[in-house]
Amino acid sequence: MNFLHALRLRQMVDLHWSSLGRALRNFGVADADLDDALQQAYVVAATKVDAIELGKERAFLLGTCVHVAARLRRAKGRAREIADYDLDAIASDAVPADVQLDAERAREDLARILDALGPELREVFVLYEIEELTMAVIASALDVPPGTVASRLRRAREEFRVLVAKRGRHK
Amino acid sequence: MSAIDDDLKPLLHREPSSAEARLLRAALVYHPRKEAKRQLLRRLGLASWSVTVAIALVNALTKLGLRATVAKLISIWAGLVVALAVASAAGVYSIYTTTHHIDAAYVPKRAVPSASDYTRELGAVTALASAVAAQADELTGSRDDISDAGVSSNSAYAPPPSAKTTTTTTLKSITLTDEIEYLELIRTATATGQASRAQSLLAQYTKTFPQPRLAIEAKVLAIEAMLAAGNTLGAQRASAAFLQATPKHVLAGRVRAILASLDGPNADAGIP
Repeated sequence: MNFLHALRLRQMVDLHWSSLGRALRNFGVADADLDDALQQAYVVAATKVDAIELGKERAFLLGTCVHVAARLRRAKGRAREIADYDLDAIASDAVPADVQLDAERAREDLARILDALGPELREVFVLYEIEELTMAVIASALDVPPGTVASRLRRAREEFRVLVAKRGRHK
Repeated sequence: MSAIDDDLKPLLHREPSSAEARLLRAALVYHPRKEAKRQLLRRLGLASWSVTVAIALVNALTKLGLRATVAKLISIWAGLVVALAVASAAGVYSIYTTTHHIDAAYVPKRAVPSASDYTRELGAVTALASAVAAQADELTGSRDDISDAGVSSNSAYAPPPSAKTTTTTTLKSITLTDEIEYLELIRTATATGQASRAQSLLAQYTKTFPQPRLAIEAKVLAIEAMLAAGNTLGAQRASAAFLQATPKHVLAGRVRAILASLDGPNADAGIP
């Protein structure tokens, strides 16, 4: 890695470290594995820094995070757990009506809802709704057609709304 | 048209007071660990003072809206360096020709290589090629196996020249990227169920990289390879040794998780 590549990579770390950590957590990576996952994502970026297009660093890193999260999920055998997730558990574990929703509780609820979406819908939903990437950039980052991104986003939104409403009814 | 625009707008910005937006706002809160970032910068060789100072300078000038100035400064600086280098070379040559009384217009004739020189060079190149091919076979096995495992051919690790023939060149030519790619190869082998292959690659790791910069990462991969090979006891022992030696390393959490998953007698035996 030459000096200019090192500078570019360092800037990628400084600028995107926080948002990648947040994205990985929203992709379902456990808190204990976040630092390790972040390192894996940047190690991949270090090997391909000369191939990353200028101005598309964040999209590249987020796309890498999707793969890292998927690999961790496979390693931990959690895919089946997510598929079999009991949606009623979200509602039954919801906050009582007289308790104000605090940020921590909201985060836990959101994590459960995102788990319930399943990996494919979750990835697109997080990248669009939380990381605010455009559909074209998501399609490029995930290496899927733009139409697929649009349909996954539509389905993810529908399921998200249903789950949020279900949670609200039990409050 | 407005309905389409509204549809494209992220839920977070549609109705800020809605339950959906409140939940999504919770996803934005994240407090990264600074120590983990420092470890990564050290690991990738990005913590040096030259990189830090250059980045600080670029960031400061960018904040001041002087990005164009930065570009100009860099081009002026590069121009000065080139001019200085040319001037130095001309000066040295001038002094050399003066002290050795050499006519600057004189161009020495190149010695024409003989047929025996070519034969000797061809023999050396053939020997080097054989050595490299032998090591490549030893390290990566057949390329077909790698392709079957879902690894693209351009990501396969190309080993450096044989240590026996070009020790000095090998040490100089090995880069951090080589090492990272080698470890990625091990990780892929373990992930695709080729535990013995991963262990064979690990056995070659210290020979291929005599001055490893990612030795700790390699230890974790070794633990995972042992686990994949069914060597639970070995994995437990190696995990315990790892945690005793580097309890605060960023990978310690991963090793602890492995150890906990084994549920062995050492899992609760006072390991940090």
